[in-house]
Amino acid sequence: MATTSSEITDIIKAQIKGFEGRSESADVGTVVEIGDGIARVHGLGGAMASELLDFGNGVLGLAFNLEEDTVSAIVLGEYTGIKEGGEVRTTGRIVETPVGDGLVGRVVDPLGRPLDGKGAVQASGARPVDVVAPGVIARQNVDTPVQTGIKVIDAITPIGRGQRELIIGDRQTGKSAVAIDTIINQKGKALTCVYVAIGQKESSVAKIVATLEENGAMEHTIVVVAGAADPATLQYLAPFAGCAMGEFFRDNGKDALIVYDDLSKHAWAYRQVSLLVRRPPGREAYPGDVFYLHSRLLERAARLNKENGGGSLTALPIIETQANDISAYIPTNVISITDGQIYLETDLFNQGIRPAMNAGLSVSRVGGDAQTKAMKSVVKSLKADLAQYRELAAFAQFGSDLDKVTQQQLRRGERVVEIMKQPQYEPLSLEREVVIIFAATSGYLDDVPTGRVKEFERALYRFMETQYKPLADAIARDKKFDEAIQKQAKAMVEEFKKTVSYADASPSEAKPERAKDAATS
Amino acid sequence: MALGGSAPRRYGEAMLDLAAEEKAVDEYRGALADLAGIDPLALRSLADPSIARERRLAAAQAMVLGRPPALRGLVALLIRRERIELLPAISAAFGDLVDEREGVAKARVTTAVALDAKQRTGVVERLEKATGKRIKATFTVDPELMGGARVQVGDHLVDASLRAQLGAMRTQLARS
Repeated sequence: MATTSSEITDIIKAQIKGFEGRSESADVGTVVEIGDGIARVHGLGGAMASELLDFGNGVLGLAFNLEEDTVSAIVLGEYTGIKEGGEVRTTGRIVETPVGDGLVGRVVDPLGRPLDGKGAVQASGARPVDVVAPGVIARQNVDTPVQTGIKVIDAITPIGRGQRELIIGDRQTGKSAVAIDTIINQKGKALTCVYVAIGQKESSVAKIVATLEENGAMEHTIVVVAGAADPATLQYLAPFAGCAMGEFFRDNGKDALIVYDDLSKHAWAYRQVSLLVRRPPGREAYPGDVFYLHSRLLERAARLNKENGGGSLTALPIIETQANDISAYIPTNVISITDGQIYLETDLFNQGIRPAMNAGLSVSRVGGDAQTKAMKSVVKSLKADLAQYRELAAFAQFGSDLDKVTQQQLRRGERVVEIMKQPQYEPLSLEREVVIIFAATSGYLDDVPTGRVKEFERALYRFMETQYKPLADAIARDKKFDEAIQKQAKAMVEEFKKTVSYADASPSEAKPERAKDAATS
Repeated sequence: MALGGSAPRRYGEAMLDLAAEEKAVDEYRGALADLAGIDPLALRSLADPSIARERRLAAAQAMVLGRPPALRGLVALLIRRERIELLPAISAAFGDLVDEREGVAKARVTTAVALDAKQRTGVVERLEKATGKRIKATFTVDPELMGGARVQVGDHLVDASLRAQLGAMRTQLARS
């Protein structure tokens, strides 16, 4: 913005004219102890819980513990400039973060300060970061789906707008990948995404932002970062700040999705802050209110009813487990708070089943109501096929002569598992998902060797979008899969199978990657 | 300042209860202030564990001879509990509690230039009117304020100095 020096003079003149020489009035205290981002302040008799405190020079703090003579405050940001004996003032405000449409496409810290070098954030207002979740009266049942674009999730653990679905698993099982794919798939779907990175390496965050930009997903996404090098106090605030930004859309009748990546590190940050202000440690040294910390955060994800604008905020918290231990303290807490979990496993991941979702332990408690009719009608037999396959697969390793029915079930199961695999950053549209699941569960893939299933899948999509465009459009538009459409789909798959024969394995076309898949399945 | 835990205040509260029973609050306040004013070196030897406790007790009792009985008791108790070094803090806490009970607030008035006696009483009167309490004011001069005054009553600060106003103007200009 080019402002000439005479304009600057005019602005200053106007401001000096309008400046009222008011006397400042505040409660004051003195810093008696400072270190590790925690300040103990003597005095401040009138400070409120969670009030913002002014340490001077633009450094702010948050009144965390109110004691008889002192207040323990967590310093937001750089605390090295604070000295013992320094003056601290109350501000009468509580912690706020800027919100609004202007944040979309930006990378900011929990206090809304830009980190992407794209200039000041054009916020339309500020909101307190820690607010009470909407009550029972303001809410409504989840009834609209969030299309993640990931076949296995949309089919087995569908997510509805306003739901809280946990993504849980060990390190390197593709937890963030699921969340990122979901964000990428929201392009043009009127769902604003907020990605909150807590305690992550700056390099990982930079990579994620680059991926989102490459796939054109930053246009509907806000990234909130409290990195590994940032003070624990900022990491503690980050999810609440991100949530406030998401709530802006929810309360204005729009839909938003928030990803907390990840809440284990958030719990660590909170543990550190709590121990430093000498709150008593409990199980695994977490403070007693770590459950409430996460429940009040996730409770803010909600689907509001028509009288309240009908907006929604969907939460996808991520939890990292250690050695598949989902019965540790934080995992069990968050599992019990959320409306279901997507459980990712290292073993499956290494077998090449990616996303490595364990279909047996993953559930979605409310998403079924939100699933599209089209998806609902094709997944019924899918779940049965998978369950039977899991049961039989263990036995089948020993038995050599199995009866025909069993062999058939195994063959079907293998193909369904193969269909559920999906590469990263390639979310699918609803019509593609529905058609391929229909083909698999109706047995059209039973005679295709597992090594060529992926090839079949890709060719079928192409065939549908060139030869059967009206059918694809109809599924996408009406989100139904009634008899008429089913008939058309059947005709299409049959016609497709006549064009190319996939009946035998064709080594000439088998790429190395596919050969590996065949070996593991 | 009541740092170092809440013990001085607890002792102070107990003493105030006793003094109020005897209706001799002011007498106790004066006596406590006298005692708190003893040589710090003497106080340290009273707390020195290398000296036999009986000898320290005898010395302390000689010191409080003729003082009100509860005060003699307090000193003996503090020696026995090895907390005699709290005495100055207890005295301060006692003073604060008495002030609080009688509705007296302490004020610190800082000005850029020294005020004369008439101006001082004027300030005190206005503060008393504003707070509804009796004000015990201490006046200091700080040329860095540049002008105006800065008044702190208890934890509450009213900053009407030129320095604060210039600071506010600077942040406002920087923001826009």
